[in-house]
Amino acid sequence: MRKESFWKKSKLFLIFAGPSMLAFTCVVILPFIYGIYLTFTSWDGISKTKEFVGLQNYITTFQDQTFWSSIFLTFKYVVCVVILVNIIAFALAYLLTSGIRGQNFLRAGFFTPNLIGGIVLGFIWSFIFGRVLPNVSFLQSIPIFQKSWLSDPNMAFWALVVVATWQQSGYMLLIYIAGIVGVPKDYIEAAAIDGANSRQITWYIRLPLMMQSFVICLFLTLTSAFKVYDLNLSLTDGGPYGTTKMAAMTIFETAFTSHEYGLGQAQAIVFFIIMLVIAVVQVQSGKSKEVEA
Amino acid sequence: MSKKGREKAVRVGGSKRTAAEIGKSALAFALFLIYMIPFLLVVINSFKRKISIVKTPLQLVDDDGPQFENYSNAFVDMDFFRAFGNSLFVVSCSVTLLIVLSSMCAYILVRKNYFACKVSFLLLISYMVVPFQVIMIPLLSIYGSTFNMLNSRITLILMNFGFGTCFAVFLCHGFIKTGVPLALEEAAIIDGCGPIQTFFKIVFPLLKPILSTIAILQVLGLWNDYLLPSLVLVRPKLHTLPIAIRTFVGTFSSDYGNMMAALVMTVVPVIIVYIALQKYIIGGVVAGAVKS
Repeated sequence: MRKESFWKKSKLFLIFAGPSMLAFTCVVILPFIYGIYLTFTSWDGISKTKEFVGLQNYITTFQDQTFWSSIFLTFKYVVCVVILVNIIAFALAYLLTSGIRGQNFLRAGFFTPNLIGGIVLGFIWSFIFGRVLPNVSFLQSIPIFQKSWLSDPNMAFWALVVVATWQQSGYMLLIYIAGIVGVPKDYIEAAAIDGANSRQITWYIRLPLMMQSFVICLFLTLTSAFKVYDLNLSLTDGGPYGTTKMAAMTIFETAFTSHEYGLGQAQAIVFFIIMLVIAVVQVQSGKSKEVEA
Repeated sequence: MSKKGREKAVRVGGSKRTAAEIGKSALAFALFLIYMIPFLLVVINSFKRKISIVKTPLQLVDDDGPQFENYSNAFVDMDFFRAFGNSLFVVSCSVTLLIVLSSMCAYILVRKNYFACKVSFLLLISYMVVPFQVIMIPLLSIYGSTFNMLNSRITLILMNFGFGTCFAVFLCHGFIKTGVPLALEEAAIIDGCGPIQTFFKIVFPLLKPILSTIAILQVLGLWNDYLLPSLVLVRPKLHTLPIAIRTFVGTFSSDYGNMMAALVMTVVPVIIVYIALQKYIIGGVVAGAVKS
């Protein structure tokens, strides 16, 4: 083929990739670079001048108690949600693929909460926790149901975990079902002929072969739990007394409520680096355990 | 397809129905009911007066019969049609842009090994690990304080496009690389098609499976998106559904009946679409997750 001229190449690239790359540059690359510059200023978001303060925002971030307590709370939330979502989703996927009737109907049904955004789900559940549970007489003998979970600093956190688990298990269930169904039938038959019982088949054949599903589900639950904002806002709004403020909400409030754009952006960068390290470690360690079918 | 065959093979095990299997089915349906209880309670209470919601939230029907005013009140107070229309406009424009322009971008990135193509692809995939919180503050500074472009649905649509294009290009890229035969395009070029004609007449129709996956994932994500729209569309007239419902609940938080009705009205359109397109939505979600 004839060698294309530089002019022709650029024209072709601009026609096809131009719009996407332009939009991407405008909303992602420019703000990302500008954001790094902002962390070195003490800008309040309104004034015309941006005073250069060097590393002061990062130093403040590292010394900021409330920021770190929100990071630790987010960690606690991530660990609880990741474990609960994946155990429940896998158990449900196992149950649904064990040859029961209405498998497809149930699969679609469990997914329903994922069609609805965190804002609406949060309001639905704040009604359940705030109005319904404290009013159900047969639950009143159980101590944890006597008071609204949302007004109790310890229980409000668990309310968030319950709702996130309820929502996301239906999503991960789909991926686990695809993983279970994707294990070749002949491997299982071969193991059965060799005298393996059903527990051994699950443990030594199914689980290693569906490692990829676990990597995907862990990655998705991990990253979405880290970024939780909508649910946090509509279910607890950080309360009671700011005890359930996750990292995303803290960053938002630092920037837009306290008008410390520079400091908020520094927090966001620190948050990003923490999340990046954890996600990379998780994917790498999971990939090494993958088995080719 | 082979996937269907495998699903059938799993079901073959259930031909002899034993007590254990009936038990399993019962357990699965019981769990499903528990999952649905929050929705059922909201629907039930949306037809009740405030006093009976507060006193007896589990009672099925109000002593005075079903209360339809909750719906008409919420409908008016939330300005439901306007919010619904805003959501529909923003989501449909964003998704159309994403489908057409991202597939074009992915096509050139796969077929040409220009330096610019390699750099672009690298930049696009590296965004997938960046949380929105890192972009949020500078994004608002640039387009709010400097250019004063907020309070416009077009701005939101272009932003949705810019953020969504990474994942869309990534999915299309993989699909074109493995699923679109180069021979077809060469034949089209010999027949006298230019690059744009080749793309839209030959390649684009072949991308239908992956484009429907992208469309489903993006519609779900953008319809429910709250944070970015709430930052861009501050003026009440422009509010999308998630912002409208939050404003509504914030203003009428003690009006439980109206609040329940508003929640039901927001959820029902999504459920109707889901019932109609259930098979494709489930398929799209699985395909999107497994390919990433």
